[in-house]
Amino acid sequence: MTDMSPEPDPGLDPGDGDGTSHPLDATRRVRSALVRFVGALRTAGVEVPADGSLVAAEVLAVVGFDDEDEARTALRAALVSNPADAATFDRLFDRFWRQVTDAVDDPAGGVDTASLDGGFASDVAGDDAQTDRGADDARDPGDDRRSSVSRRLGGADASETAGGDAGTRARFSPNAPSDRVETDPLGASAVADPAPAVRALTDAIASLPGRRQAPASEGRPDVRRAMRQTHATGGVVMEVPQRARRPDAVRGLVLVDVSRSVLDIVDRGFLVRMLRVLTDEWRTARTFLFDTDVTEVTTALQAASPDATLREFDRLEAAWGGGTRIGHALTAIRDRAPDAVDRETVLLVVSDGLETGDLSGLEAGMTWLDRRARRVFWLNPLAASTAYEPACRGMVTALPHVDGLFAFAEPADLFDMARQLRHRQRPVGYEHDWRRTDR
Amino acid sequence: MTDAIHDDFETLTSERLQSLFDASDYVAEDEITTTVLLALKLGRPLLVEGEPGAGKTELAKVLAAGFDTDLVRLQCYEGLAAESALYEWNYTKQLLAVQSGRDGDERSVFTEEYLLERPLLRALHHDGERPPVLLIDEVDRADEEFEALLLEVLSDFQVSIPELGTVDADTAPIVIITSNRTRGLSDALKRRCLYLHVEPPSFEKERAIVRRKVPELDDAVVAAVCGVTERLREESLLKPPGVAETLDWARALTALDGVPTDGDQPLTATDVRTTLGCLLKEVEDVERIDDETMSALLSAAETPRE
Repeated sequence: MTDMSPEPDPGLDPGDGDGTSHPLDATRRVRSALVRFVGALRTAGVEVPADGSLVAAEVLAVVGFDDEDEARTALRAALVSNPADAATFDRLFDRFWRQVTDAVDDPAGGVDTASLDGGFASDVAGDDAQTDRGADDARDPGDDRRSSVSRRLGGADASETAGGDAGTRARFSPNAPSDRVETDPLGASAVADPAPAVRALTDAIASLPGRRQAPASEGRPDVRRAMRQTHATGGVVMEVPQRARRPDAVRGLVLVDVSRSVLDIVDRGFLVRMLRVLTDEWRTARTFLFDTDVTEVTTALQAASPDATLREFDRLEAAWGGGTRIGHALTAIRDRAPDAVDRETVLLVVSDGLETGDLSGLEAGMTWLDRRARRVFWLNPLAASTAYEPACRGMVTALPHVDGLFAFAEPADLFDMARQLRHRQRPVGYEHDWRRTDR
Repeated sequence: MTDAIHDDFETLTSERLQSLFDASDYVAEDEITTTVLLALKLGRPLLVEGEPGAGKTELAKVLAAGFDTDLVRLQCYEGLAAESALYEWNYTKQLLAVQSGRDGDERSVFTEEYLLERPLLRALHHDGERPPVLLIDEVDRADEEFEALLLEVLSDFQVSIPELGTVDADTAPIVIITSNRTRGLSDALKRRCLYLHVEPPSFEKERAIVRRKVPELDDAVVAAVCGVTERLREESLLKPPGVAETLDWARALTALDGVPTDGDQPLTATDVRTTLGCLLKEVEDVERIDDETMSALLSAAETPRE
């Protein structure tokens, strides 16, 4: 990455700290080290503002070079605005500080030509390499079976094509390895187009203000309307009506359980098409697939066609058909994308709740989501059965933290969910859905 | 402008700032002191993030009290707009003026006479000797569009009013922005600020805070109180107790008859359960405290800590 940082404050002088004067070389070396440090932070993924180098130079000029902890605190305040980046900052700061102390102690020292980037690259790469190695180590030894296994996915046109060792594998096993996503064309789905249902749902849960204005009890004064009303009162202003932007947009986070137990019930084509429409309709809709692993597929869902989306899934090495570890997935999302959910976010969890992992992880994750998200809805394919009760331990753990548990098998379920959510004063949930009330 | 405004802070030292915090019984680590000092010296807004109850708002109050200046507070909320934060035209007065002036009075109704100042503009118009402390509290509660309104104020300490012109600050305020991180803030806002993340207090820090704020409580009871809240935060709670809740609980223990406050007797399950409402504010959280969890809490209270 090219470092576009502006040149830091030329007044940055490491001699300030101890009251002695050093040759210009020292200032240059500190300045270079600072620019490289900022560049290394960016390379390591830290979101440093465009003028980060300048502000960093300013704060260093204020605190001086006498106290490492003070300089660390000052630079952290100037360069880091996400607590998750603090560890990366600290790691890279140590090298930066060594370079600064070298420059102060030996101002006439030559430039380190061994590495033009000041050695930061090895620090940055070292971390990544370690992460990669960790990921490799953690990878299930069954991974190499992924690409060779083909299995039946729910759907009217799906046929039994299991081969290799898939036929002998226990279904719903917590240790079942995931399969590579099939990239065969989806073809015509037996389930209707989900787009109208998704639009109805979007209208029902929209919370973000759109462009259109509507009369409101609190908002901006509607001066035109006020003037019109004065015709009825002889020109006297009795009140100033208000108007506000009507909510018509949704910011969402969608977590989709693609474990084998879910895919045996939900039509694959319906699922992919629904996710694509959600991505299209909502202002933002970050989407993660999970079974025993977690993959973000938001960009894949923006592909030109459903089949292109499947190919993107394949490129992202998204896998499905393994066991269900919801708690693990929530922990991973919390670590990797903590900003994916905020107080405007509507969370959709598509899962049967048949958790095979640690329940404490699921509980901690759901508590976190409950605390942060605007609303949490759980779409459970099993709830499409009128005999369903959320008695499995995963659902029992998650239920106190959800604003509604709904059935999810076909577009009619989404229409019904939208219908229920439009009536804000009534209780909502699978027990009030069309299958149970239309009898 | 910034240089002139912040001349007063040029001579400010960490020690002076620390003594100012001490005088207000505000327990601040070196990281907080250094970052606040930088914000004052550089004249940059300070964005403070952290869990609710970590002392973010208190920081602004302490600065205002310590520098003996006014605190101008803008409490953010969903739907907060320019009319409530910057300025608003007094429409009713304008309409009446327009109607009464139909006979030829052509005076503009867009003058300061018809302007209602809101907190941001009031902070810029402050006419005291010392710059006020402008507290923009819980900015994450406001809509993202609102952040754009802040940018001009935070970078140039001025407000542009299309009908009137630009209003500059005579004395730039000390700006403290707090956020509970319920949503991410825009890069543009972050870029204009120094950043401070206030970590949840350690056992030692919380004990120091309770000692200062509730001096009538015995040291051993303070340790027990902090031990319980520290253990409670390990549970998956909807609303984990912050320092404010710990202080409430400590004060409640001193107010109740029969609750040990001198350290001779340990806290009992009854003591904790009857005062649990000070710590937990969600019924689901209260229901989580079963006998097993209660035992763990009491065990944490009795663990000797230095």
